[in-house]
Amino acid sequence: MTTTPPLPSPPADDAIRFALNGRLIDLAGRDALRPLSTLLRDRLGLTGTKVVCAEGDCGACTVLLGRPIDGTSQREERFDYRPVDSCIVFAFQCHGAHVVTVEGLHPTATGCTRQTRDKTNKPGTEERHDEVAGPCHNALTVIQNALVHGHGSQCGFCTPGIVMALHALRERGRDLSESSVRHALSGNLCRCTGYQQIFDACEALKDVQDIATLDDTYDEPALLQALTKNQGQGITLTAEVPCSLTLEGEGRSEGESHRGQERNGQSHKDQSRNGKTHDGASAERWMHASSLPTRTVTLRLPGTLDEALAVKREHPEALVVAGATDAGVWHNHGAPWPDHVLCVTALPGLSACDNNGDTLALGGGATWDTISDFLAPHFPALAEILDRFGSPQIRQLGTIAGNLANGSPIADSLPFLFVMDAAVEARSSSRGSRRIPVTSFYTGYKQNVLEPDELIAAVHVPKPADHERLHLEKTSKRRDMDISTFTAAIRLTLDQTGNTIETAAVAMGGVGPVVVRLPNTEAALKGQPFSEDTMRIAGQTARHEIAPISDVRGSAPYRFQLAENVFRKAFHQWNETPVMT
Amino acid sequence: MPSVGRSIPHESAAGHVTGTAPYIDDLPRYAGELVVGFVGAPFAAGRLTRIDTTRAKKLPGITEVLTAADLPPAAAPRFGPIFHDEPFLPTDEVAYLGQPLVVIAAENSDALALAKQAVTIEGDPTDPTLTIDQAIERDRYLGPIRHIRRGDAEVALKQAPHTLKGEFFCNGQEQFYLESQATLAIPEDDGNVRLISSTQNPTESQVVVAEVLGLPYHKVVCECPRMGGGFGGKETQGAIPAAMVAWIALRTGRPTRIVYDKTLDMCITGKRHATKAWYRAGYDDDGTLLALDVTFVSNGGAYADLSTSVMERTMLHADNAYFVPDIAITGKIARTNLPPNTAFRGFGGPQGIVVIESILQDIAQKTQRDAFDVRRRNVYGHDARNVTPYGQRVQNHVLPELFDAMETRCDYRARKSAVEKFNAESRTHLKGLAMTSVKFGISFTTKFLNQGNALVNVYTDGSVQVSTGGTEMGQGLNTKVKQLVADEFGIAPRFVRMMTTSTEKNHNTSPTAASAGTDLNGQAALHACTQIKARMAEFAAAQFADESRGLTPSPEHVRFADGVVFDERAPDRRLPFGDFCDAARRARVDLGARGFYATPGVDFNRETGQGTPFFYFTTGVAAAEVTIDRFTGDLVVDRCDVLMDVGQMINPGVDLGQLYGGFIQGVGWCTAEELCYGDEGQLLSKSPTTYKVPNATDTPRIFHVNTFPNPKHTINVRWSKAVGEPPLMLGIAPFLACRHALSFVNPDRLPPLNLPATNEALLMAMVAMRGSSGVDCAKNTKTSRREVPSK
Ligand SMILES: Cc1cc2nc3c(=O)[nH]c(=O)nc-3n(C[C@H](O)[C@H](O)[C@H](O)COP(=O)(O)OP(=O)(O)OC[C@H]3O[C@@H](n4cnc5c(N)ncnc54)[C@H](O)[C@@H]3O)c2cc1C
Ligand code: FES
Ligand code: FES
Repeated sequence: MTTTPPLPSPPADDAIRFALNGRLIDLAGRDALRPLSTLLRDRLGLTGTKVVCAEGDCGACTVLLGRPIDGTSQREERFDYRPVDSCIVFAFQCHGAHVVTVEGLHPTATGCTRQTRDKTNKPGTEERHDEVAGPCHNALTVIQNALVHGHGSQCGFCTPGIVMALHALRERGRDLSESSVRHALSGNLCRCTGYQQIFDACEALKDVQDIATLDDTYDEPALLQALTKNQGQGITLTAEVPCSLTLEGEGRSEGESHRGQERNGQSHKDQSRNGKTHDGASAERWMHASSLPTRTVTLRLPGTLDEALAVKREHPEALVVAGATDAGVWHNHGAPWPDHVLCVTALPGLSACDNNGDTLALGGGATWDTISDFLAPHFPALAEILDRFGSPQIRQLGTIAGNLANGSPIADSLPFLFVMDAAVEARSSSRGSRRIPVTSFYTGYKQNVLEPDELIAAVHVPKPADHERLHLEKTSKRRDMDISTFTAAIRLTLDQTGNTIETAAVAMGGVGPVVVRLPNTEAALKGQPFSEDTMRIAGQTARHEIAPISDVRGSAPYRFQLAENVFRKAFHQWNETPVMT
Repeated sequence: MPSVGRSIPHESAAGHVTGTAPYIDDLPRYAGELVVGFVGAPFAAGRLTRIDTTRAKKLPGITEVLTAADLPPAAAPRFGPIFHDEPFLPTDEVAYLGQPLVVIAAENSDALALAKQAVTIEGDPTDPTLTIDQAIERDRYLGPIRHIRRGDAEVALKQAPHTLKGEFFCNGQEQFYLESQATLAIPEDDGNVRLISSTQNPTESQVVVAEVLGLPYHKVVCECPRMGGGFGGKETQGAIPAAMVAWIALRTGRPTRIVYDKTLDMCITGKRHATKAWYRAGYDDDGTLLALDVTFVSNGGAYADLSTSVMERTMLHADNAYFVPDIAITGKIARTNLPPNTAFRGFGGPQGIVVIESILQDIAQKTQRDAFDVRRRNVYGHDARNVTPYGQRVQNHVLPELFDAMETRCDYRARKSAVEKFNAESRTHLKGLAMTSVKFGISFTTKFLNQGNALVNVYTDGSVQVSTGGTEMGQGLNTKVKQLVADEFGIAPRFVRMMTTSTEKNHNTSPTAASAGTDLNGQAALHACTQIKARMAEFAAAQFADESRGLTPSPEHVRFADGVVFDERAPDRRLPFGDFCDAARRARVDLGARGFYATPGVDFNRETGQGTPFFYFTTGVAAAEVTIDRFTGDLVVDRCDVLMDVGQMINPGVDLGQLYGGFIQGVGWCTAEELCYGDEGQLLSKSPTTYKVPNATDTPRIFHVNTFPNPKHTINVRWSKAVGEPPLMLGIAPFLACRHALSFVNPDRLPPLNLPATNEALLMAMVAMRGSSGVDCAKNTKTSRREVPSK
């Protein structure tokens, strides 16, 4: 690993390159495969970023991931910074981006402005009482300063993550009002404060205009130039990872081979290429790993979709990594690396959303944040659900293809796509594209009809017709940052009078191994008066079409009851008349 | 200007926001440092038959693979804060799933991960005891049965016009401190070891480590620079990992670190005790409580840990803020095969308080009276009805005043009518409004723990270092002590530095717990300051004496203020504090002192259940309004008003933080935080993915937190009151607002709602209260999933 200030030699095609707090980082070998938080903390000694859960569910590890935006003029060239959970971002996903950690908010400042204002360092000569208590290692940003003085931290362990989430808000030009801050912090858990003093500290900044943004701090055009030079060109790198679950002289798990010897050779090469790291001690800690049995993982970062498809044909068993909001969690839970990894994060040509007349095309690589903005005008109900999808951090990275491919029965997009009769566009390099109705995409628990050489290129959603009613339900233990216990989508078209149901589509998740359409329930709705009684009957019918289980998120009886009740809830919401006699 | 009373920032706030305040895992790695992990029991109960570590030992990068058999002969077989019943590493009998059995030290985490997989553990698992009911059935208890009694509850219950009989269950709670258990052990020469640990109780870590490794105490030093949260979970539970690294460090001579990951921490450390209560209450037509008989049984887990003390506090809070003439309180602790349950903010208090608050809510429903009126009628008085069941008088309090103030401040009557109107009209939602109170006893109920010591060093430039036995976990103890000391010397707080807590400077200390951190350590620091100041005043008096102006040397007239020292009779002559200290040293004045404090007057006899366990009470009230979706049970806490008597605040910003944070933690316990276990004793809700602590969007939209003056409170350090735990118990208000809301579903049935009131619990309670509504599939939840009794 090398870190250099810009502008360096052009990037190699067997290393990834990103900027970290204004400095360029070239990574090869295993470092590229590490979670970003591990790289920061253990390899670079940047311990300001904390790790609590390592599964995207607390936000303590929040950093800013800045991707280049194409500006029309050079002055507009800058980075678009988004908050991400660094524990489930692989270092390789940062290729071409600018990562900013809490250490990078104020990299140039050395002294604390407040302390230098105090002329004396001895009690008795002059007294000031507006001091910042404690050591000032760094100047504080306006936001940090507000938190310090507003008692926005107690134990402080969540605080760097919260600071980064708040800065993300500023980077996107949003205000720091309480409602905006509540939303922005819905991916950051704090166990100490109850959040209120954080809200209050921010509220006081609501009208402050001159909160510096990162383009004031960094020479972004220079960074962009250094990062985007070889854009569009694929990268292949290999990494030696320790063999998991396989012990010397014991049975080997598939795809693993012992390379102890080679690994030693490799490690010397690594060492010389690595040069010095920020933290000698932590490098030392990792160096000893050389004696463990290892195997080779090949990582590809294609420059184009075609290249990605070619890799997928060559290595159908490759793990595709898009946002890694699922894959990163699997990794941290101990899933071994497969021999091949294909990174499609932010791949050009995979993430665009298009309005194609009757249908809306969502790029497979489109993130939930993008999709929410794109679909909100057509499906306000969906925007509401997506607002609660994961957390702000998850929505910046998680993609629709990842959600579909993972195929969890509680995936939040599925009931919607099921009732909309959406089509999944699968593409392979040899056979091109085909469209699969989403309702026939799954064959069993997390099983789908995708061929091994295919990628999900897009999802096509028909536009809603007039007189349509759509209700989406996401039930979870906690409103935000919680996987659903139960999901449902109810889509009805009414006749001209609005009194009779013409067509009905109903889908539910969390009620069996896969998301299901409920044909009997749909039949019970079709042709019936649009009334609460119809809804009641539909609910009772639905009970007989599902087979939920009891698990940590909820009991089977609860899920049955939700399935029954959701119809009447939808009816009342559609009528927007909560008050009835 | 004095700093006490001002909201200066938390002493580490700048370090927090910049990420430069280090926690254990942030401390730089030492060269040659080892990483430690362990392999735990694969079953929750049963005998071990074989532990095979030979393969693990051979792996590259593995330094040590140890079991109980490797412990030194002098090692104490069992440890524990109250009863010595817990083995560091069990030899034959396993008591909970994941109980540490094999300790592994490795050069790096890759090797450690591999070695863990290479250990083989075999045994004969038996059917584990997991729930309170199972333990009762199997007659498995920990410690003695305790009673607190006044009058004759049996007779009074018979004579009471009305009685209410019921059963209440509250689930446990995970502390969910963000920094998991972590300790770094640094070996020193001559077989000594230094621990840097995330612990609320450095003395306990020192003692347990010494005992289980067979060392005299003085060979172990334990330090705690700061914690990323504690909440009680680091009072005893850090001892086992600390012992592991100390052991390895001493054996290998290499620095050694252990940092639990979150899931491991959640799975194997103790939590708030799940508690079940059986009660009978007698009351009159107005809802005045006449008698109460209540038996609590808590789920203590596998070993005693702090369970007996926790139960004691449950029993001592069974009355909460209400007078009950005839009362019988019984407490037992179930011994189960869960990790030993332990301290968590409130320390048993919440489990006691929630029961009587529920009873009062139910009495209101039964008597068709307003629940506020019922509570107000029963609240402790000033001159009469003011003695607790354990014989301590509730004095100098403002409980009735708090109730009355809240009634107007939160506009209780109008909002109550609005709720009733809303519920009559809405087909989609239900609202509820409830007001609850807290009267929390301050002091350790174990008398000897009510002591603290502090070391104060004044340097010759006038700057000061303070060390106490108190640990900083975010609660602001250090900030408050710093303010107290700064004011003593009349200097700005930034010239006072709080030093790392260490058993080397402050020994034989109590845990930083029971909300008493500032009370004990602040007083001890003041005691040290008093000694230094007496010496300084003596010296200063001589300096300021001036025969020409008729000034005789008078230490009583020496003042320390605004950074200067002067004689108040001739205030024109002022010596800057720094220069003064320099001169004092040159005159061989001792500028350091160790202070000590023992809380006066507290004493409780747990055999008789009578005494004065508490120095004073911290009290408060809260009102909460909730909205429940009739179709999904989804709960929104709309508005909370909190009003507390916390005395004169040393640092209002810090104290308000405790009120906000403690309250929300209580709301979490009461609403969304649900511990679920599988049949094998495995925790199913074992990470924030499945265990849901309050999120930013759960903080009530309207959230008023205020303090209430109490001029009668003139004891304790600077007339302040402890604030850490009490607000947590006001988080019960939203729970009772839920019960209030449910009472509208069917006024003739008491809501079958236990704690926590999850969305699921609320929906299923509504279904049950309506009577079966074609709920053909609604068989009982598989009981193994949670401990849910019928009500
Ligand atoms: C904290 C947290 C909260 C979450 N909350 C929610 C939630 O509320 N609702 C919800 O539904 N989900 C939630 N998730 C799950 C996850 O965020 C989503 O499933 C997300 O859409 C996955 O997308 P990804 O790009 O991150 O997938 P990845 O992790 O990158 O990949 C997931 C799977 O999809 C495959 N894949 C990815 N892209 C393609 C492609 N183009 N073609 C074929 N296969 C592909 C991968 O190979 C992999 O098997 C949450 C996850 C976390 C960590
Ligand atoms: S550590 Fe919890 S989200 Fe990354
Ligand atoms: S300040 Fe402790 S978790 Fe937020």
